[in-house]
Amino acid sequence: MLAYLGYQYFRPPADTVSINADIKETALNIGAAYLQDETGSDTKYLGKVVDISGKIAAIESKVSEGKTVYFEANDNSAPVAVLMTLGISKNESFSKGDSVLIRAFCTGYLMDVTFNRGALIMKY
Amino acid sequence: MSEPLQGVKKPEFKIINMCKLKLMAMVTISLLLQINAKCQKYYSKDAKVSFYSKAPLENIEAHNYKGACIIEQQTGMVTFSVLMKGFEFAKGLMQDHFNENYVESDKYPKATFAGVINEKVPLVLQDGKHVWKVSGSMTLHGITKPLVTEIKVSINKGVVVVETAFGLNIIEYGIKIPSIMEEKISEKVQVIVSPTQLQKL
Repeated sequence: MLAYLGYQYFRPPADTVSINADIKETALNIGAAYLQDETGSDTKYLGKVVDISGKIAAIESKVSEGKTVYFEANDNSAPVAVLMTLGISKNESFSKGDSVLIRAFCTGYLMDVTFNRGALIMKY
Repeated sequence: MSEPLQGVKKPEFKIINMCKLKLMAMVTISLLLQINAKCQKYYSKDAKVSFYSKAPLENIEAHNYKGACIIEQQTGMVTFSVLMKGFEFAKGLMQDHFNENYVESDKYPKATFAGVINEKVPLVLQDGKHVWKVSGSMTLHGITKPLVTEIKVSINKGVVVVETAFGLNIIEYGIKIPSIMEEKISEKVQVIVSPTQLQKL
């Protein structure tokens, strides 16, 4: 019992790779949904684990927080940005122009539709 | 006699014209700079926003790497926003409790500080360090309260970097701490926006 409580208390946030996605959707559709109806999209995506598919438009790298992947967007779609989790080796093996499937937690819409704790699931 | 006189007048005419041209050029450049400055907005969508809470039994800290910051030069408007679900904790349970029991981030997904710099921001930003007082309001957990803070802006060769820090009393924002948790969670929280490089919008 004590061990369980201790585990619960000290457990790190959920590992993105090991949990199942709640939703599977393209980055373009997610961005379009947020542009049209932010509140409705929050109801659908906020806090959920999403498998996002799309083409990488840009990768920004910062030492302290790792890489941010930006998916390709268009005029009808808000930009979708995923902050990738540091330390996952697979998260290093992609580049601009790749078509990928990334699993991540949706944190909402500010200037971009933002996801945290991203993990590369596969490259197409 | 007439030739030397004409010779003297022509250079004077040229000097006057040159002065007028220089003056016009300076006025035009000045106007263009002012128009440019009037339209100028600076922003970042990668601001690191952290909060710290010190309590007798445990210190709590969390970091958000996707804060948004906008400064409008003409109006002096300053805005910082974060998505509450974007805060990362070392402990998963703490993160769950933060989102579900305290800030209710499904219901109130954003926190925003919006204010105006109390003094006139120069139209042309000179290199150097500025500390500006900003008066505005903080919205957290669906409740808006007045807040005055200072922002530090440093400019070096056109690169603008902003940072700020302020304290919040979470009780004022309707965030309830159960009595059993009072030793673990402080009602006073320090919010820090780390130095963030802004881009021109």
